[in-house]
Formats: sequence, structure tokens, C-alpha cells
Amino acid sequence: MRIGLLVGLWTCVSVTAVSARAQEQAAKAAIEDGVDDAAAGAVQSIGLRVSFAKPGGLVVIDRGADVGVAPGDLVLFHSRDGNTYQGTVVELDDRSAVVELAGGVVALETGTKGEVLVPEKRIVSRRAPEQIVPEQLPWETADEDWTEGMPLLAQVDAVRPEQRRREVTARAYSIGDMTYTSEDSRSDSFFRAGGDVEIENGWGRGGRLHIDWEHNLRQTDLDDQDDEDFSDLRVDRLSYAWGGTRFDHEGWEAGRFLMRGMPEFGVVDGVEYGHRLSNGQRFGLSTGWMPEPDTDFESGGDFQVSGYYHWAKDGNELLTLDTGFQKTWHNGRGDRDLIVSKLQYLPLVGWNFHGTTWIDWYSSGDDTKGSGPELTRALLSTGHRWEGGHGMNVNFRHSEFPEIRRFEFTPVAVDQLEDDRNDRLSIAGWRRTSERQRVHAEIGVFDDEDESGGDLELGVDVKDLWTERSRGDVTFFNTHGEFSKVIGTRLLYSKFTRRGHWDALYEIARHDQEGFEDNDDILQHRIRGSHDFRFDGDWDLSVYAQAVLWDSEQSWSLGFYVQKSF
Amino acid sequence: MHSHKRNLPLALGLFCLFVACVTKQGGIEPFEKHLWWEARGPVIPHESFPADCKLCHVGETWNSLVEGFEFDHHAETGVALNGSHADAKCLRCHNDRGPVDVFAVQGCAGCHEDLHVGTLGANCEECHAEQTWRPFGQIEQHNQTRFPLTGVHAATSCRRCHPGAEVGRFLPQDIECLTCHQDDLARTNNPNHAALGWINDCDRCHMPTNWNQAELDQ
Repeated sequence: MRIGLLVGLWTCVSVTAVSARAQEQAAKAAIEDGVDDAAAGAVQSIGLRVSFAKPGGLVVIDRGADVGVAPGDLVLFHSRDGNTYQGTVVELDDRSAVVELAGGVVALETGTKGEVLVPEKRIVSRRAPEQIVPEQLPWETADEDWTEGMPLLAQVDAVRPEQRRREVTARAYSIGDMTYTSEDSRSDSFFRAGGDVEIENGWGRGGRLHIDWEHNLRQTDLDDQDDEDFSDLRVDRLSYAWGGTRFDHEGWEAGRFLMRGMPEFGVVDGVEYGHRLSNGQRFGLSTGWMPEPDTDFESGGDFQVSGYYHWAKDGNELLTLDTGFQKTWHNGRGDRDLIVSKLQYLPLVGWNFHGTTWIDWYSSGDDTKGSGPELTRALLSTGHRWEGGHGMNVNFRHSEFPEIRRFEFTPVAVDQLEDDRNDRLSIAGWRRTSERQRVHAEIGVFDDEDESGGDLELGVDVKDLWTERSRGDVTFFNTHGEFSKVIGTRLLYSKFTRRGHWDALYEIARHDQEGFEDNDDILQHRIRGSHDFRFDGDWDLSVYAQAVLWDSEQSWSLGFYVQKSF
Repeated sequence: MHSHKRNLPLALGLFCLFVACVTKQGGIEPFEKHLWWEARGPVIPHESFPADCKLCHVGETWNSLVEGFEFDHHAETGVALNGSHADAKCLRCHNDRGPVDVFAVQGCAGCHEDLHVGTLGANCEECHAEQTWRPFGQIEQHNQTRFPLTGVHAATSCRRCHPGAEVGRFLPQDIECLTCHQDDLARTNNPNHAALGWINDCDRCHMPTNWNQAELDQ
């Protein structure tokens, strides 16, 4: 009984093995039959692996045309369970190929080994000239030295910035906006041409030189007054920075630049020092002149010193607090004592929070504001994103004029300095109601020294409206402003292409001007069309046309933006 | 007017000259997007990558990536690269400043300097798309303030009221007419408003929908 059972088992195993060998031999014979007749008999087996499986019984292999594989070649796969499967090359790339599996096989595991037999003649004709293999450094790192967090391939000491080759990146752009208004035949043109260049390790010291400039041309034609015309070349940035990388806990920047540690302090013509502590927290100091924030960027009148401290709860910096102090002088006279604080909480899920406050600390020399601290500006926002595409944001803004000698805004009267303020609280939310449809709404209220008011928007947008890869949006809006009430509707249709998008907008709104007994309502139409696209990988082009029609008047605008990146 | 006619070709000429110079590689070596620097070492973590190195790397020169290399950033990392980001060099974000996770969680501010010096908040996408940094929707945004843009105000350049607009500073303004129309008041001489003491309550005669026309009570 037992002998009979063993014989039976042996017979089954033998038959299975013979069957597998026969299957493999038959497959190899089929491969040899399948290769080019002219080269039959002189074939070479090339080992391969499955890179990944595709739907429909297709797999991608890591061999391609560069080793002589051709469409129609038969491929053998040897799976880990001992079976052999066949396939045929159906698509080809230089270093990979797509193979269709035969016999109803649905998929193979990634990493499955295999072979393809290729005529030697085909290999020789395709073989590239002998390549020089760079000399490898001796392998000194043992596998057991690897710990989590290290690069996977090897424990390689990344090369420091000063040891790298020079790299240059650049960008050039031109922007034009032209507006013609029928009333008074007024026209306004504004052309900008600019660029920036960043050179990394240009002089073998690992630093970065950054140059950023823009040339502005503006022309305003007035029918019965003198035309306005100006042309300016403005240097927005010309700075050299070194350090401050993962290799160097100290960083410096000198020249004209936006302060890195505390951008709220603005652009400076001077120097900034930053220091990262071992626990990831940072502090920094800066000093220099502050260009006036207008189109001239004129410098020399305002001088500042500032410092900041950046606290982070941990290395991920999900919770951070920054506090900085800036002292300025205007033409030699003490001007502003500014304290800026920023709190950020950015968890990967849940509610996030951003808050920034600007507090001016006035002294006895500030006649209008008196002495002591005053909150000049605050921006607080919190938001949440839910699964399924829903989300909401809550924002609060407070602003008032600081008493400063420096030119930062159009001069205001003493009573405006004393009283003017503006607070706005808004809540915005959106909810996806179906795969293609989303409703969105925002409600805001403001309160200033004179009046209160608010605004409301309610809309719905639909994906793939009329055509694929498109979006349509209709939004109703209502604003109760200080001098006017507006109620209207906005329609937006966007069509997305592979490299950009087309947009068309129409807005109709009734503007009710307060203060006039007659003729205080106007119906205002706005039509806008634009096209943004990217071509050749590093060119961006954007064009638009817009018309605004109200009463018997109208304005027409045209604009373009072209940018080339290097 | 004449200087404008001279300046426009000058500006466009400078732009074309710069593009031509850089394209011709006058001293600039463009860095290929998919050429890894041998000297960099493996900056990007490879833990989740396929075991077959040659899917991405050229065998003998591992710092070169295969021609036609594609990396589905969204599928592999959960972060989609849209607009210009799709063509950005990997090292623009994956570089020496530290773990990219720290910067990614901050959104745009993780990599881009805030030229508005913090005054416009952290929701960059309200005004900017990822295709270009040209802002959009300013008129719509202004509708959500206490001063919706009506008539000629919707056709006026931002810098008329926000002097720092051209360098990205949009500081709040007082919305009384005189704040922005001080110069207009000073040069008005038919009749001479200043001489007559007409310096307040502009809305008694002027509509905010046009430049000059005044309405007189009959």
C-alpha cells in the first residue's frame, strides 16, 4: 500500500518535472524559431527582470532596444514557483520593453527573472562604442553600518557646496499691460522687462550670487493734461549668500536682498547673519539701509537694525514661533520700533493656523500716537481640509496706519493717523457635492472708523462641463461697501489643455453709488478672455483681453506675459 | 510721448538680447533637469523606489538618468507637480536646505520668498496659479473689500492707489477720494477747486465712474 503510494507520488513529480522541462525547451525552441532567420543559430540569451506589471496581461521588462530587443521577440519568464511563462515584445523603448503574456497569464510579480534570445548580429550592430567605466573608489562601508535615515544606496558623504561645479539658473520675462478708456480718451501703458540670475558656487567658495532686476516703462496719455511718462531700471536684488545649508549652521547674506529670517522687515541694502542651533532653532541679526517700497526702490534715507529668534517645537517644524524687533532711522532721526511675531501650526491633518502681528512701540517723539505699544496690523487665519475635497478657511485682518517718517504709503492726515482702522473677518468654505460638482461660499464683514459692511459670495463650479478637462463656475456676489453697494453674477469657463488653459469670464453687476440722488445706479459689465500656456518646456506665455462697460463709457485692456527659464 | 516710443523698443530689445545671450550660453551652462550630479550623493530618499536601479539610472554613469525619465511625483509622494513645477529641476526643492518635508508642509512659502513681506497672508493661491506668477482676479478680490472697483476704478492701474504695487506691496489705503486724488485736486483750475475751498465731499458733484465729469444739481 505504502510502496504503491510512493511510486504514485514519484510518478506524478517526475511527470510534472518532465512536463516543465519540456515546456521550457519548447518555449526556447519557439524563441529561436522566432528570431531573425538570417541570424538563426547565433543567438544570445539576455537576462532580464520584470520592472512592473500593467493591466491587461502586460509587463514591463528592463531590457530594450539598446541590447537588441525588437518587437515580436519572444520572452521567457521564470517565476519563483518554478513555472515558466511566455510573452511577446509588443512595445519598445531604449532601455525597456512591454511584453504581452501568452496563455491567459494575467500578471507576474515585479522582479521576476526571465530571458530574451536575441540574434548576435543584431546585438553587434547596435552595440555602442566602448565606454570608459570610471574607476570606482574602494567600498569601505559595511551593510551593518546602515541605519534608518541614511541614504539607501550607500553611506555617501554628500559633497559640500564649495566642492561642486558651478551652476547657473536664470529667468527672463517681459510683461505688457495696455488700457484705453473711452471717457477722456485716456490710455495707460505699462511695460516691464526683467530677469534674474542665480550663480551657485561661482567662485569655488560655495556661495550663491543672486541678481534680479526689472526695467519699467509707463506712459499715461491724458486728453487735456500733461502726459505722464517715466522709465526706470530697478535692481530688486543683488546679493551674495554663503553658508546656512545643512553643512553649515551659520549663514550670511550681503548686498540688496529680502531679509531671509524675517521677511516682514523688508528689503535691505546691508548684511544679514543667521545662526542655527543644534536643536534646530535659529536666530539672526541684520543691518543696512531700506529701499523705499515703490517703483524706484530709492535707498539711503532709512537705516535699520533688526534681530529675530525662530523657535520650532521639533525638527519637522510643524509648530513654530518667530519673534523679531526692528529699529529704524529716517534721515538720521529715530523712526520706528517694530515688533513682529509669527505663529504657525501646520499639522499634516487637522486645523492649521497662521498668525502674524505687527506691533509698533511708540515713544514720546511720536506726537500723534503717544507712547506705548499699538497693534498696527494683524493677520490671523485658520483652515481645515477634509477628505472628499471639502474645506474651509477663517481669516481675520486688522490694519491701521503706523506713525512713521519713512515713505511707505500715500501721506495721511493727523486725524487719519489717529482714527483710521479696518477690521475684516471672513469665512470661506467649499464642499464637493458630487464627483464633478462643488459649491463654494464666502462671507465677510468689515468694520472701520466710520462704517460697517460686508460681502457675500455663493457659487457652484462643475468639472468637465460640456467638454472634458473643462470647468464652469457661476458665482453670485453682493457687497455692501463704504460708498457703494454691488450685486452681481460672474460666469467663468475654463478649458484645460495639455500645456495650459483658456479662460473666459463674464460679470454683470449693479453698482449703487451712495450720495447721489440721481444717476446713482450703474450696470457694469466685464468681459475677459485669457490664455496661459507653456511650451518647449521652459517658455511661458500668457495673454489676455478685457473690456469693462458701464453707462456710455468703456475701457479696453490687453496684456501679455512671456517668460523664458534657463 | 516721444521718450515712450524710444523706451519700448529699448525694453523689448533688452529682453530679446538677454534671451539670445543666455540661449547661446554666453558664459552660462544650463543645468539639465535630469542629470544628477555625481558629487551630490543620493539626496532624495530612495527607500520606496523600485529595486531595479536601471529603471531610472544609466548603468555606468549612475548620476545620469535615463533618457525619457519620468517620475510620477504625485503617485510616489502624494504631492502633485502642476504648472511650472512639472518642468522644474529636482534640485530646486531637493537641496541642501534640509529635509524637503519641512519645506513642503509650508506650501508655497517653503520654497518661494514672500515679496509681499507677509502683508497679504499665507493663501498665495488666492491670487497666483502655478503656471506663472502673474496674479489673477484682483478686481474680484477688491469686491471683497469696503471699496469695490466701479467704473474707471476697474480700469486703473493698482499703483495709482497702492504706491508699492509694482514691487509687490499692497498696503491698505484710506478710501477717502482725496487720498488718491490729491494731485487731481491740485491741478484742477476750471474751476479752481482749492481756491474755492472745494476739498471735501467730492461726491456732491463727482461720480466715481469717470475721470472728470461733474454733475451739477439743476
